[in-house]
Amino acid sequence: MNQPANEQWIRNYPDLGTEQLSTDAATSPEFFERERDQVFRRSWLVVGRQQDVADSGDWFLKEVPSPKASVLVMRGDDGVIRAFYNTCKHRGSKLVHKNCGSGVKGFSCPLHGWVYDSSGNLAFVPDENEFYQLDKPALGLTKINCEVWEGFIFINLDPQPQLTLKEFLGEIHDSYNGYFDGLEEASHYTVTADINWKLLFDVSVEAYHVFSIHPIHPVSDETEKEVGKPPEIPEIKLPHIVLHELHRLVTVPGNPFRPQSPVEQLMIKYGVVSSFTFPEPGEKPADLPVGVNPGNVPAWSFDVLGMFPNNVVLTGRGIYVTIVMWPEAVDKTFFDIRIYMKPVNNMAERICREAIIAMTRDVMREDFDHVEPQQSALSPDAIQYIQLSDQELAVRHGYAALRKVMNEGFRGELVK
Amino acid sequence: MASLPDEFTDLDRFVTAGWALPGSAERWKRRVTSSTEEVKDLYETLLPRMDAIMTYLDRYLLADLPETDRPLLYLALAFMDVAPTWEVFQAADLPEPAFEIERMHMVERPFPWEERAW
Repeated sequence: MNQPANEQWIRNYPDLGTEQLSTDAATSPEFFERERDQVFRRSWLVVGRQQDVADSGDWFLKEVPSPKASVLVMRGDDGVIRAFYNTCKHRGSKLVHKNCGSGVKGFSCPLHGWVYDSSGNLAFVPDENEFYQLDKPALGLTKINCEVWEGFIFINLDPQPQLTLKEFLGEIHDSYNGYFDGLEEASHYTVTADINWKLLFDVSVEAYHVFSIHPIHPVSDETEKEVGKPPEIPEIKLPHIVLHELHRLVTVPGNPFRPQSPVEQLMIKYGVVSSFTFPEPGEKPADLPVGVNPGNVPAWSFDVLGMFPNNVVLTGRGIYVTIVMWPEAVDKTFFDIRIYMKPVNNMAERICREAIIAMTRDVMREDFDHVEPQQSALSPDAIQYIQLSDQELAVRHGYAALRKVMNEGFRGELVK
Repeated sequence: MASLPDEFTDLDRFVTAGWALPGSAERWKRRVTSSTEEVKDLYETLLPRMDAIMTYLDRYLLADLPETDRPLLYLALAFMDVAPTWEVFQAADLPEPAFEIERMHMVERPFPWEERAW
């Protein structure tokens, strides 16, 4: 289902328009504040996976930088995953200070010892009879809306979300069907970079940049670069683009003709193969859900699912990567990057897996190394509008979805 | 100084040179602060030995790996950390100016024996 060469993707999405886009979305402090209040305060945001709180009494903290919120996510004794503000209802002290833990029955505030159970209820107050009227049932931790989809834990800081999580996910809600289950976190790192959060999102949903900055990435070919072949090699064209109401997906093809390196041959021999490194041969296998390689692209490597507003998920065979972007300021962002892979059965698999982790980490560094100078050069004096090609249509869609939500809310024209 | 099992004593010099590190971040730092010659030596020496290393270590489940054999695992992981970049760039790290590794904060996944120690 590749797009014919003479046809552009914009024909499927004529409402997006073709005009150049204002750079204020990445440079304007006023835009950032509106984005924080209209988008981040009101969207469903991914804070982790359900295996991060696998058992009752497991918990972790997520410090949301903007709007500022310390969020305590915990699986209660009843098995339910809940999210709370990490604030004691006595005098507003910070309840929990560590990042994560397991096997707790609840929490005791370090300041005066108020105790909350694993469901967030106020369970014990020292010297309780010294208080005048203490409505203990009403003094549980303040709840934050929290839902799970396909193992991803979402929070919504809006006390009354405009959309249910199912409505928010829209077309992708039923498209993954267990795809994310069964893989474990193989690597996890965080980065704080001096960029607007969207700059990394934007390079993640186009492959136009791959030829220039990712020589390590298996879809490009160093030899062709050396002989100066123009960047029209078919493997860096996106063979499939799907733009939903809020979310977007592009498919990245692999190069089945690329010779395998010695270490890649070792990895194949020991069965540690991800489609990031070696594309799926031929047609899409029947066991992949409809949301993965939705265009049935031959030599598929992986998809980039751009989840509104701040989560990029790379979905491959036997591997997926999540890059969650938490804006701190218009030009500063905290990135939480996790690689999930099949659990290893033996030592050889554990050893070979390290090469995929190392390669992925270096590809991320190449992206960061280029978007940070981009932010520093993006002054309104130097450039007011950016130009986007048809290959960058998902970038355009990202800005369109963002502005629509900022201007009309989630229940505007976006929701049918 | 820990040494490797008898059949791998030819690789002891890499343990001596500080390549057998348990943490992902410290292995990574060891690599990017190495000279090209050091990384070349590690890659070219270990590549033909990886089959033997993996066959040797595969006698164990990860959780049961004896303490004396852990340096061999760490060395094999160091090889896998070095290999992708070496194979593309013939260098220890990405071309300059590379994004500094200190800015990527690893949330380490402990080995089973490290978890028990917690």
